[in-house]
Amino acid sequence: MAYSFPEEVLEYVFAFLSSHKDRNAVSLVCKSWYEIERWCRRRIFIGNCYAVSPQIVIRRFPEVRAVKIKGKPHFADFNLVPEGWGAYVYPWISAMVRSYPWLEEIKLKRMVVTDESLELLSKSFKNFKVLVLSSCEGFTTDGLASIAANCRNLRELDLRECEVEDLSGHWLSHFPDNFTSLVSLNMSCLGSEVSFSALERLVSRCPNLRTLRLNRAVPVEKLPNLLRRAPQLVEFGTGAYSAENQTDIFSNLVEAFSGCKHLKSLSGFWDVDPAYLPAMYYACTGITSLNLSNATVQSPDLVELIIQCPNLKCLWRERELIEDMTTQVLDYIEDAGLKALPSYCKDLQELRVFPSDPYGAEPNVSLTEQGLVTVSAGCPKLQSVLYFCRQMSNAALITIARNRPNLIRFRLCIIDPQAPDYLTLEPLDTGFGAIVEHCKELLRLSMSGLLTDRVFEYIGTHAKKLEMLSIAFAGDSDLGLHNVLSGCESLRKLEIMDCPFGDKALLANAAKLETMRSLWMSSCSVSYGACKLLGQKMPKLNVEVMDERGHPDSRPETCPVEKLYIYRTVAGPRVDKPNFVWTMDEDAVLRLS
Amino acid sequence: MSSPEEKTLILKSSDNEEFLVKESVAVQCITIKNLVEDGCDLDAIPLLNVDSKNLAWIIEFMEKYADSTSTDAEKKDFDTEFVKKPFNDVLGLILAANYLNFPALMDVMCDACANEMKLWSVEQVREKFHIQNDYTEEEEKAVRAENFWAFE
Repeated sequence: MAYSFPEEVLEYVFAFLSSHKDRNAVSLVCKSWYEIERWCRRRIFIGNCYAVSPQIVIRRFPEVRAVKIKGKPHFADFNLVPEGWGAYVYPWISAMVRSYPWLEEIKLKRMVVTDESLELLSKSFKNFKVLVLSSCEGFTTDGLASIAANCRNLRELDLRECEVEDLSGHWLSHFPDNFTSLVSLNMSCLGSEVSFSALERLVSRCPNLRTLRLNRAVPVEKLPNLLRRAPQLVEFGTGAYSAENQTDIFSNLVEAFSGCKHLKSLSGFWDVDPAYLPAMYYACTGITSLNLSNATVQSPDLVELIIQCPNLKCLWRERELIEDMTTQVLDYIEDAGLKALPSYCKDLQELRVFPSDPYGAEPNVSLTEQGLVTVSAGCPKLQSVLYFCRQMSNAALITIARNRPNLIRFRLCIIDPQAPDYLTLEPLDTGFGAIVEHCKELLRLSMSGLLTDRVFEYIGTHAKKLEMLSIAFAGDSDLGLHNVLSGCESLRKLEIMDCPFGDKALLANAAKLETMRSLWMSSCSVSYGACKLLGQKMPKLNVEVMDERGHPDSRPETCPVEKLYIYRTVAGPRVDKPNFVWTMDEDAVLRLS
Repeated sequence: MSSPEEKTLILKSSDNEEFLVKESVAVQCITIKNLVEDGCDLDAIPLLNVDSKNLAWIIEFMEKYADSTSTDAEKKDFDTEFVKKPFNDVLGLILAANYLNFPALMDVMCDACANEMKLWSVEQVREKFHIQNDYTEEEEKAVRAENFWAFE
């Protein structure tokens, strides 16, 4: 029996399909479903801003309310993408201003955002509600002032690790007196001091404020006033957490924190004076996320924070404590601190340990692989790890793999490139091999240390669900790259630096590149000639050669290119390339030959 | 215990079966509510697009939802069991709920339908909805590429 479903009924059903994957699947069923779906899609996700153009997006989806766009490749975080590379949001904003007057939400990652873009968006989208900028740059506090002044319905302003030119803290005062809709404000990456009275008034008049992440410039003595005005806060980030010895600050803090009965997340903690940590204990009742990555607190104080607060113990009994705790700490936590974690944070899901002094010659803390092994043994829900350390062994990795087959993200950064197993001096192939073999649901892997082609054999054989792989200073030959490209069925993003991978594996696996979002290779051995060939062979890929030494034609064809960024696209070659990026396409090949 | 003034309606399915339902329960269907408010004075309200199988289920659902003593948790459990029907019946109930303009039932059934769809391939969706694929191979390839490359 064939049902003739009215359009509005199908729309009703589609409204319950929110994931991009499901919406995309719907559009493939038949042409009428494609039409219905495209008119009712409200949220779009663009994983690579150059994979599609604003015009194509707008033509297909005329009624969008929320966009999320990612720009530069991930290795931009390590300063590998030169200034002026691209990922400008302005063309997107100007196109959307014309076509999406009711746009409510913009989330950007690794894009260049100018004050002009911010001003344009603030004046054009009357119902604008959410702006989240992660690892973005290119704007100043003047741009923020436009947002504050013009976005009358703003709910979220979230600046995560952005590089903002801080002209003044005055931007915050641009929120009008009758502005009350703020739900979330994250200004933690800003440098300058905002007007404290403006901040206090803003917090007071926004009853729905649930996230407030201050910047370092907000001194600890200002916190009680803020917290008292916002006891409903769920996520809070302090500023600098120390002060000259003033006893009433401590008692004010205690009082203020104890009034915050809904806190689930704490962050901030620059310049921590351990004496002030206990002031927070009364608020730690429901804490699930603790970001101490700015806190240069020594291990015993951290352990105290985590375990010795009387209220924490109490609620541990009630099993509410630190569920799904995400812990981000500097390595000051040391092995001893990490060893304490499993006893008190049985539900830990994500752990990130950053280096406090990555360039120091000698270890300044005693953090070894043992800390991670202990956590992997004692925290059965641990699924996501980012761990910087100075030494690792195959034995430890094998133990971790066996303990935690449920890992989905594993990023290990051994600070010395090509450091071998410190016990046996062997490569770490078998260790990482064990990770991919046991952790069958692994989605993301970042490796370091001494690694040969062997590890790539293991990865190609076992890492069937792996979506993102980051490699540096690893492998011996093209066989390594070949194993990854031919074996990792789910691979979407591959980023490689300083590996001896060249033309052969890349050309042999050219078709694979159309099944991935992107491939980054820098300081490898891929020749200019191979890049041209690849560009010619694969017209749907943008094969971009990046070289700050000047046009690759000025060097022999066999010369390896400095950087290579390859991605699939429906938008053709970029039109906004800087003078150190060239797209290898048919035209280029003809022009240059 | 219903009060003497509590009105009972007779709902007649498309296959002429009659069902007695309290008015206060039946008006969850806005179509019925409108008929009642417009002063419909028919002996029985004919529901031409709803057969007895579906009407019986709809009444079961209406009565559960009109019951002020059932908690949210109980309703949720009820929903979970209620949607465990062959997919064709899920579709039938959606159409009936649409015809009767019954928002609560629409929500539950469409959510259930969507949950099934999430588990299926594109080919399976076509099969279950009895839809003919009218894309050419080229066209389908182009949409797939755009979907996966641009929007995922």
